[in-house]
Amino acid sequence: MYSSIQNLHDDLKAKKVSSKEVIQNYITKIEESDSKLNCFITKTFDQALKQAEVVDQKISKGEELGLLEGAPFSIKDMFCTKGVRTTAGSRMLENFIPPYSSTVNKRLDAAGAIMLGKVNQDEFAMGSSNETSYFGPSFNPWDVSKVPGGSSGASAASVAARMSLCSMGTDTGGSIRQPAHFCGTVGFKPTYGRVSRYGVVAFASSLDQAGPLSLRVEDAFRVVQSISGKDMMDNTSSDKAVPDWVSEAKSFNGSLKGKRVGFIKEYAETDVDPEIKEAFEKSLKVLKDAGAEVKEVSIPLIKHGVSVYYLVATSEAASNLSRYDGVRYGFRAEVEDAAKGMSLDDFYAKTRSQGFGEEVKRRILLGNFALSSGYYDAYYNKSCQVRRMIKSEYETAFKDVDFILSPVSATQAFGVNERVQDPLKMFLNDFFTVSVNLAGLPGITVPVMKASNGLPCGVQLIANQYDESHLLQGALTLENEFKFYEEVPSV
Amino acid sequence: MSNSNWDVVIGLEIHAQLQTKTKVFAGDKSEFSSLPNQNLSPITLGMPGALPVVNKTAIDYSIKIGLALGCDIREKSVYARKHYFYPDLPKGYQISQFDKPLCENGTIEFSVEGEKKKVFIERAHMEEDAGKSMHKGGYSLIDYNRAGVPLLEIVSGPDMTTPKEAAEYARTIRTILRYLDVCDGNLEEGSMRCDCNVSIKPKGQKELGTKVEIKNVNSFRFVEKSLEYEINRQIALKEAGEEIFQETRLYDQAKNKTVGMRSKEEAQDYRYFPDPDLLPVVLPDGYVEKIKESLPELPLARGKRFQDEYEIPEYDASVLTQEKEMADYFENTVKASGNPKASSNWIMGEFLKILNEEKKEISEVKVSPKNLGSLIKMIDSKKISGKMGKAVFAEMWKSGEEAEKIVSEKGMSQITDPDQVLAIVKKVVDSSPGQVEQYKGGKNKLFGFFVGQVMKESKGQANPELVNKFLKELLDT
Amino acid sequence: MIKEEELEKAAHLSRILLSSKDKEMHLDQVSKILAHFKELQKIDTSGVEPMVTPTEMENVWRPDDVDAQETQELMDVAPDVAEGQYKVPQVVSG
Repeated sequence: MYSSIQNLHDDLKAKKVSSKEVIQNYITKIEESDSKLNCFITKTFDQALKQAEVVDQKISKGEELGLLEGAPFSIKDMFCTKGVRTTAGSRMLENFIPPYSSTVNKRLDAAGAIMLGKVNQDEFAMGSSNETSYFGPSFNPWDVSKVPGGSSGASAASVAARMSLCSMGTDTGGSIRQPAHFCGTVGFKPTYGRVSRYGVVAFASSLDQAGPLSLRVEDAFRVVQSISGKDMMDNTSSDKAVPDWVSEAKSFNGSLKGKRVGFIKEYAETDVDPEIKEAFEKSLKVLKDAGAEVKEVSIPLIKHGVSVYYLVATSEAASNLSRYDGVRYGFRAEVEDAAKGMSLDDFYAKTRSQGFGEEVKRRILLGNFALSSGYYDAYYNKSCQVRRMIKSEYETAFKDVDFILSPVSATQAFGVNERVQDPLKMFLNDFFTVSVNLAGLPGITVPVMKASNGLPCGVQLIANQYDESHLLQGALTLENEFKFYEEVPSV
Repeated sequence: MSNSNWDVVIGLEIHAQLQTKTKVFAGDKSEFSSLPNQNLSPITLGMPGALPVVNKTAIDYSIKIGLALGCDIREKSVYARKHYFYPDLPKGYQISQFDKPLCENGTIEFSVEGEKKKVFIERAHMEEDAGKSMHKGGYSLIDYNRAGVPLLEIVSGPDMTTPKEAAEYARTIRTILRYLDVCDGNLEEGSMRCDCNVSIKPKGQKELGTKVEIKNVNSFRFVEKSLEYEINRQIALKEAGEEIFQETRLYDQAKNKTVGMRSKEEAQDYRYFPDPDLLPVVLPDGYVEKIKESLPELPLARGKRFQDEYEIPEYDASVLTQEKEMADYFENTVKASGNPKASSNWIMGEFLKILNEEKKEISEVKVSPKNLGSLIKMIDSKKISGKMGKAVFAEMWKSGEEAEKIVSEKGMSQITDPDQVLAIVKKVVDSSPGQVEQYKGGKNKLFGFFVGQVMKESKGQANPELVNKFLKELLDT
Repeated sequence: MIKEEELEKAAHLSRILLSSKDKEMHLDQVSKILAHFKELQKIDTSGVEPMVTPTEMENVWRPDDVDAQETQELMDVAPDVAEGQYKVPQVVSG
């Protein structure tokens, strides 16, 4: 098993191992471990082995390798993959085989990545524990009685358990960064607009952003570099030039001299688990020791982030999910007495009530309530106003600092079934991650240490829009110190 | 039932289908297809993860229409989602524009029975069309070819007071759309659709009555008829002391009545909000001006110019400018003939008569304006008579040949040589001694008989003035 | 707090059926969540333009060029098709 694409490429080029052998090893690992972790919804091993043969041919011909050539990936089931079932963790799409691929998948293919399969998630990415999936929960490889986080829980778990080298996840309110923290991997959400959303099942359009989970910081940037850039199929994708982060990573000398790292006053005042605090303080010290100046910044409205986030996210979700009606694709409820017919409203309501799980239904209800006449101004519109204010508070902060360090979550991974019954508590769990999505900022989780209970602890770095290069420097500095990728769960 | 106690208030919502090659938010074809579900894409079908991207041509066409309707074009307009569930609506919402439409605050002018009328255009906003449902026994079938086709919805103020005005308003909009060449304005095929809002209130009352919307009106005549029916229905209800419900009614053209759709148990709540998948349209400096420069001369202005420049009556000018093709045809004919009045008469007369009889489009007509112009010239220079002109025109209509060629090939040019005409007249008079005797005995009516015989003998080519002159000389002496 | 009829309206707009047990649960949970959202009302947002998306871009337009699609494979994923059209059960009024 590898911990970085660079190492894999070195071995492939030196012919120490063939791509086919590498893929076969990962397949074996999946077959060993996945019965305990329930990560893979659909496996694409045959296709993966065929792709590996192509990589081997390329190597034997001495052709140049793509940035991700031969790298084994798991793909969150939010990404539409032509000809391969894409469920979004929902009964609604249980048998949906898309006749098209997401732009992300097309670009991964072009860069040579190899897909091992589609992995579990919270249903339509709505959840922070992977427990809302129609296909059952996934489990944390460090302790299978704990959740892997969510919604990209199985993406994090499959990387941490060495069932894949990298994974693609999506992050609407922390769905890449929080499971990365729970499972001890790197999780990188780029700036909103960096990566095309075309073909990614939509949860909340103005918040969703795809990104990688990996063991190493450089790999995460390598993936984002491969999939970023203007896509004419997504109106909101950015035409900003994509930096050569792979080169930037190679040439980084480890010094943060002249850089300013901030911590958020309002976060510092929040109660968190003592070891979460310890991870944060150790990290701050590492950054300081590398030469960065430490500054306090204030984002006063951040305490409203969760409310704003849930109003925006549920409103957009209620709208985005109204397309699931059992007419053109996906699940359709049985009509008991077809001859007698049923009202159109009943047809829809039956299909949607049976096709969606509890959490999804709750959010659709909330969203439609927030958008309905009489409430629009007080809820949806108000939250969009506060959202702008939060973004401008961040902008002010980034005049003083180059990047911000913060916890990812108040705790380590929690127990399976521990919080499902309390949606509000589950929502509040996202306090440290959602404001990044509201402001469209890039954020990355870097694993730092194992807590006394054996579970990983990570920290989050946040930068200004399109300033991922600063995240790269901060994250590499932490990784060089903590080298968490050397820790392997025993599952 | 009496109209005189009630004020009628009518407003129209016209949906114009824009003639783009592709759909408004997707690259699949926008054209009509006789087979169902040919023009599809993941975007049109609202598949997971599919995203809309707006078609620039649809924006440009909408701006063109807005400008032609005298609207302000918003510097920043926003697409919004309008939510409702129906099987022909793929995403569960329609992308439309809500509080920030592209075009607003326009006016158009037209005349109804000689009276000038101005109607306010509240707004014209872009939106996507839905698919088509067909209800069969036991199930329904959906065709999404039309889903996502670009529409501009033109909303008038409640400014019309009679069904005639409403129909004329709709005709005027159609004329403008066709002039701009952005919508073919075909009501029967649904590329232009009129929803009519109508309410009544006691004469002089300020407050508006309850509004009823009439849908499924697919000709201008039906705009008028459905409104007449609906107004009478509302008056009858009111006068019987009953209430009018706010509802949507369908027009049944076979029965000439409006029928209520199933009453909705609750008011619609469309939950409009700005579409986060689509960026606002912010028009760069000079963008609108550039489109303005490209606008063709519009019917109203062109009609006024025809009256001034060609000295033709207002009515003729308005008929000739109703279609851009017709107005172009007229002006080209004038160029070739040098005679505006005669050109107008020919087009308003023979030309339109045969065109309508054969239900043809101007583009299908074989007679070129240049050829019609030559024909008029031949008549003006007395090479042929006006009557023969009609025969020549009929020939031209069939074959598309030049007038000169037909006249010379068929020997249709007028016989103006007095000796030749006299010879024919003599021959006729000599061969009808009985009639000559009767005529001379006082039966003056027979003069027509002789003229007819001469014309028959000369195949209509004898100059009528000479025929008259010689007949009188021979018979009256 | 959310009232029962408001919950019912939201459920109807969502086309989601609620059993009486579901209703009870949602009334409780949604009310708690809404109570939390209430805090937002205290923030003075006068004059603030609502932010719909974090991107500042405008005007990404597509040329009017045909990008034709194989339609059969799009229809292959439909639950029910007849005569080349999407089939839905009989729709009756009421």
